[in-house]
Amino acid sequence: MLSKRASDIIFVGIMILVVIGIVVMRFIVLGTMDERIEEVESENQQIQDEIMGLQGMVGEHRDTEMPSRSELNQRVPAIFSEDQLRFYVNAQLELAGILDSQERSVGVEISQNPNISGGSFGDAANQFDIVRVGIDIETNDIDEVRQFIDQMYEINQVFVLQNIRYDVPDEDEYVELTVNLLTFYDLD
Amino acid sequence: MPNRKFQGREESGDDFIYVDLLPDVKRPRQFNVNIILVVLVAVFLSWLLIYWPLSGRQEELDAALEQNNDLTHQREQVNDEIEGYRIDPDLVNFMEDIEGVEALKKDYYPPLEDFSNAIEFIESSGEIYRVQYNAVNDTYTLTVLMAQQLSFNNVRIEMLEIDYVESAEFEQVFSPSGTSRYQGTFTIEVSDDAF
Repeated sequence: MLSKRASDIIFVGIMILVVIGIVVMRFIVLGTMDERIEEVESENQQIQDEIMGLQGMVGEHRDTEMPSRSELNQRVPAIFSEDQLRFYVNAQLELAGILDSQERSVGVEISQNPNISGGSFGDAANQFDIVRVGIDIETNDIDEVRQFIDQMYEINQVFVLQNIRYDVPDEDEYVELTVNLLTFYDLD
Repeated sequence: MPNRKFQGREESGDDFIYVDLLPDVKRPRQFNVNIILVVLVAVFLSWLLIYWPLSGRQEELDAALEQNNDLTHQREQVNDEIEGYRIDPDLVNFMEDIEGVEALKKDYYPPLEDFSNAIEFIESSGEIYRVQYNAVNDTYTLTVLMAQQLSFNNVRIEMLEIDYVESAEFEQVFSPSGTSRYQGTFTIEVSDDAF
């Protein structure tokens, strides 16, 4: 037979174990339940956002005629060809009167997927494949470069200015001007 | 079988033998009231700590699941509507993405004119020597020539007066050898309102 003291110690021990077991079980059961509720609520929010987006889409486009995929691909092409792009840019430079003289040095460099992050440009980099067109021009007239950039903005294929760098020319002095334009491709 | 015997002698001198004739059986253990206590405490605590809060959470989950069903049904209806109007969501998203990148087209020149005016306002002989514009972070880096060193700070204050200028700092003010003027580089961050 156990002594009364030993029996009391065992009783208190069992009681403590039972309490600990129930508390642990509480955290497991309620934790699982909370996770499930959170999961369903987050899914609901997602569906809600999706519905709002779709309803907005219906409201905006139900009465408008959508352009075809091929029309949109004129703005953001689905096929990339470096030669074709170079030819296209050179044609625009020629049209702007920049590539008309043999004496002036004009260089065009094309690079795929330049490292661009942050802000709206970063978002664009996530949506499309970006190609950078770097143009080095010797010029004494900054306005002709502005006109060239405006011209690139007007054409079908989307081009945006990434950066421009030049020394302001004095009178007829020729300066080096570097302009980087970005264009976008939907290659997937 | 008797298992306990005792032999002895009485005070009177007679010998005797005591034999326990009861069978040697184990008696049932005494019923322990502590077990009842443990069970009662376990039941009460389970109710208090698990069942009670769980039932509240279950209601919450049921409501969320009900809403989930309603929303899923609503989404199906909207999808049917989209199909009815022959709208291609992929095409719409593609078009919106294109509009998003077209919105990145910026004319860098008008703000540059404002900066030039700010420089000439402080010092008529002041001029921009080098221009760098980065559209990714909407930052102009302008190398400026001024006759007085003090003018750089005044130009900075003047530039900060322009609504769309978010910050304007200058650094590296020095006088290039062979000139009497000072050269400094301004870094100007602008907001989208600038274009």
